[in-house]
Amino acid sequence: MPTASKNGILQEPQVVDLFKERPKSWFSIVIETFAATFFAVIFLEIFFRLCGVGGQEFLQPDLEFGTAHIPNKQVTWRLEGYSNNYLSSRGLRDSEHVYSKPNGTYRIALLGDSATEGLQVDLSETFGKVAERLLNEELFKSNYKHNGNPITNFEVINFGCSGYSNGQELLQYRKIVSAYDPDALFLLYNRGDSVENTLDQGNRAAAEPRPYFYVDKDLRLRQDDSVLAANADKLAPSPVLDFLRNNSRIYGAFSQMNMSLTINESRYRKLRLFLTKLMASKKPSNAEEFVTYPKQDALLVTSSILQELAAESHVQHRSFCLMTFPNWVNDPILAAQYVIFEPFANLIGAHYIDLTKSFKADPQMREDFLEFHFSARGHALVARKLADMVQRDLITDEKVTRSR
Amino acid sequence: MLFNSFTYLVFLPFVVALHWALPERFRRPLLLAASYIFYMNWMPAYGLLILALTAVNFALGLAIAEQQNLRKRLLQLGLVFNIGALCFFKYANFLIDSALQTTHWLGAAARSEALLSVKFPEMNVILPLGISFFTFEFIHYIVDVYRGSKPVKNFFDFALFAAFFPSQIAGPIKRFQDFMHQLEHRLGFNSAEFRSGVFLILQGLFKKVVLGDNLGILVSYGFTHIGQLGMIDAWLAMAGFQFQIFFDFSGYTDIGRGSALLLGYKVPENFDWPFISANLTEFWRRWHISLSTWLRDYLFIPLGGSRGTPNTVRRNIMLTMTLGGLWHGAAWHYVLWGAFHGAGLMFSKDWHDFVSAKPLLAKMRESKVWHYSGVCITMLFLFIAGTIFRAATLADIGHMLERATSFTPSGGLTQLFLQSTFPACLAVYIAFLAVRVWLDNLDKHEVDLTVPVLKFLIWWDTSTHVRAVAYATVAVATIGFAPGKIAPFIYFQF
Repeated sequence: MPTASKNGILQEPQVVDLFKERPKSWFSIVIETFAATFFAVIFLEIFFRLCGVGGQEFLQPDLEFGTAHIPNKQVTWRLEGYSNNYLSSRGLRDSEHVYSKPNGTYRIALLGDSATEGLQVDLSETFGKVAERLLNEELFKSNYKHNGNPITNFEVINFGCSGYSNGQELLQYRKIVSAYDPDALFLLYNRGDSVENTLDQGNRAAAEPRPYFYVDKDLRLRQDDSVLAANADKLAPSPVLDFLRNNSRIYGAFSQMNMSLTINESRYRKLRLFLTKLMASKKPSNAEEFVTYPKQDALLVTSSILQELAAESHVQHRSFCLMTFPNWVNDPILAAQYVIFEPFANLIGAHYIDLTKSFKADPQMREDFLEFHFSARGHALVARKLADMVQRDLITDEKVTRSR
Repeated sequence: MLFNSFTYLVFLPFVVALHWALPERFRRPLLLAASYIFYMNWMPAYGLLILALTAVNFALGLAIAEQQNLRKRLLQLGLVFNIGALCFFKYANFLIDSALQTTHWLGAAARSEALLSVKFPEMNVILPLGISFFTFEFIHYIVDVYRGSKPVKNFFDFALFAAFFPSQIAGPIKRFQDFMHQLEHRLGFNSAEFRSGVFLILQGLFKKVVLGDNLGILVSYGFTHIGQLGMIDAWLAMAGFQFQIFFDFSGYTDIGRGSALLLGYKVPENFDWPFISANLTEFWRRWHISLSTWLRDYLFIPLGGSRGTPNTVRRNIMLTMTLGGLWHGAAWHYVLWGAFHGAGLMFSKDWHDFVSAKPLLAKMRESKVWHYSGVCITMLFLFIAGTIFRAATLADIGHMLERATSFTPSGGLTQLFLQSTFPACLAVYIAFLAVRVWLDNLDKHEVDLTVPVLKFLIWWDTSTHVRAVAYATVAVATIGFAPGKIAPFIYFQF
């Protein structure tokens, strides 16, 4: 360090000299870089946490389902809409619920994907929670009964999970939902569900790791776990990744960027697909898991899944209701599917709510949607429909019955 | 190709690395090719358009310089050609729609079925990106050559001036003399300039992605739910848009200037703290500087400028600003915005003259109270002008202003604002600006060596590795605060 002049003020040439790059030892460069990086990471983690940034991680790999919610995770969702809530200790996008159903409780289970999950709105504004409130508000005016037993409380449990196919919802019902002993099952069918149920066997390498389904030659529904098996190493718990996923806001920010780029940038999507195929997993070690079957009719498989869900619900004396996500953009493929669904629902003994009609009847329909999902208004509309269905078709109201 | 896109993230480092790796004689062809790839990435066919316009203007420039007898005619031809191209691509649909609406209105007024049933052919012309900017650069070129500047003799240099990708799509509007001077006096790699370039790009991305886009979400909500806004919500939406356009456009300019610096070129600044302006005249010296100086040099002054009677000057101001508004977009509310600014500038000038003529007022004008009152009034004017610019329809302008004066309680927009990351981002940006202003004003020559600040500055300036970590931190922060959807630059549409 040059010495100062008598009065401590430097002359111009010395100031210029001071700011010239001087060679540093490698050791000091390495130490300074590490220290700077360490403090930068700490700063960013704290700053992101304070500002609610990077908190959109909510899914973790799962060997059985492909993906599942992270239990107890605080999720600050900003990608579309806004919410800031915790996932429950059992990984539900809901408040805490016990397995054993309290006496007098009428329990409704909601199955579906991101539209049911409703991260785009606050938990209290999701159609499950709103329907629960609506039903409980009317308890005092009514004398509800189910199977002859009085109802003193309504509970709606949201099992919705982003990206879930109907096949995953079927598995969810068997392995998780049944444990809660619901009285009624509502499934919100969405665009893309039918495609997600079946595997494009020519494109296994790029397939999302999840269970797929097919219909065999005897028209029985079969499960294909070959993609799960092929990705077992990626789906297995990883302490480092799990820690980052659960705790690191920087990891969350990069994950969010990845999600955003995948949605918005076609070149990025293509690059990811290329890299995925390049690094595609080998065949599963157990050759029997690698099943081949004829190309599937997606709608046939979907119908089989829904039929299976309806049949299993009926065996367990549960009502099953199929709701269809509103086709407000007039997608012709979806419109064609919905034409089949109503008679199909009757055939399998399921109740049916066509949300398209309800939403299109709303003069301010656009307000009911964000970009891809329901707005708070949209959720409220679905909740009303759900509550009406429950009150009209699934339970009895002795006050109404007596007055008749 | 957007500056804040994944493609540009790959494109820029590749071009920069290749540029400095190649010998000097290959660098300009590389930049020219890269600029055309950049432009044609959007629509390949329009690369021919920019090439054709370049060729014609290059030839015109040479001809104007050489043909002394015909130079005025050639200049007129050039102006007609460039303005004609701009009008065709930008205003054809607008003119046809306006003519049709006028005909139908006349038909309704006159109850004429013939007029009501008139149909004009639909043109559906796709607006080429950046046409407003590069036609203005061509007009500046041929006018300046006419006025005596030496024309560019090398076609490829001229083509590079026209297509230079850091400023191609949304300015700043360059002056060919400055650009050619840089081409002729190329220096080698300058690490200080390179560092400045990286810093500017990061700053620009932060302004555009973190501040502009996040604010854009709130503003968009406000302008699509006007009926549900309370008074504070309405002011938030109005002010929000003005700042959104600033962060968006100045962020873009920073990225453009930074990209140019990485290649060793300097592109003019476009913004100079516009919101500290005490009056509208000052604002237009600080906002979109390249456009306002272009309008001054090629429209206002040729019309007569500030010479002539007061009414002539007012006419010149009004015409310049109205056409400036029309330049922004083919819609009547842009024309209205320009006229609104024109009216404001006329008033500002008249007020300035009035105050100057009154000794007491002229003395009061020196006070800080007067100055800051002027800043507040100017900002209020800008918020209202911004509403005219942003509103989807003329009726929406009225609705928004009505909500802003309605004394109704806050609605969803204020809640959205408080839930968003924007307040935190703004706080960070303000803190950064405060440090920057303080550092800029810090006279290192007067500071005692023993002061810790100077020690830190010396260490900072001599530690490239630490600066790299700091820049990476800013980049990660930008990624974290970026909204989910990548929004294009507002000025792309012009």
